[in-house]
Amino acid sequence: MEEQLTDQLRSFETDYVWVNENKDALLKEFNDQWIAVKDKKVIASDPDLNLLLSKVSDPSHTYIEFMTSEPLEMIL
Amino acid sequence: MIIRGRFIGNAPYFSVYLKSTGFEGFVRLLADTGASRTTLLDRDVMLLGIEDSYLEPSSLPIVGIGGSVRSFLIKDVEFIMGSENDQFVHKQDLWVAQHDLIELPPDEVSRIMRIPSVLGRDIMNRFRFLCDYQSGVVRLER
Repeated sequence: MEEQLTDQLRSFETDYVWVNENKDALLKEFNDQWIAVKDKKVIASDPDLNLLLSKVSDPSHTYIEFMTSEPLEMIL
Repeated sequence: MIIRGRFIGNAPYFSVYLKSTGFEGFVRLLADTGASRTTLLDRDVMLLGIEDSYLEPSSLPIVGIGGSVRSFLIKDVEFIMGSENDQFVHKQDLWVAQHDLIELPPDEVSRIMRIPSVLGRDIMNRFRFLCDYQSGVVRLER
């Protein structure tokens, strides 16, 4: 169980690193859309987050990100 | 124990599994030494499917650059982070900060939903925090 959870965490991390590394290509296809990514594949997309969530069977175990070319500086 | 993080853009993040009675799932937390508390923001509250009934109004206000937000607590949340040979497992109250999205224009909502949840000093100070962007290394160790 512990090992399985660690593997799932790593997989989740791999997906968000993959999105970051492929941001330019993903922006061309999914600009201003939410995307759901599992195993380095976009499994669903939608401009509306609620609609995207309705398309994903397991959102809390899936990496979900908003793709936009709008620059945003964050000071947290 | 060494917990490795990742840089996304130039910002350090850690992957965390959160588990409580009302929800569970994975989040990506921005390592934020300026945040006193580890805090979930609007997007992750929605993605984790956390219902309002699990949010207990906090007696302490939250303030940050950009103004105030409504603050809540979720009691006894389990935090799990993976290391190379082990897991960091820790239970504590989790803070939640929510903007009043209904009152805001769509563009503003869209920007707020891009704000990451943060890993604050309440957890980071349990470790030595190494953050070396030039070498691409970010980790918590003890």
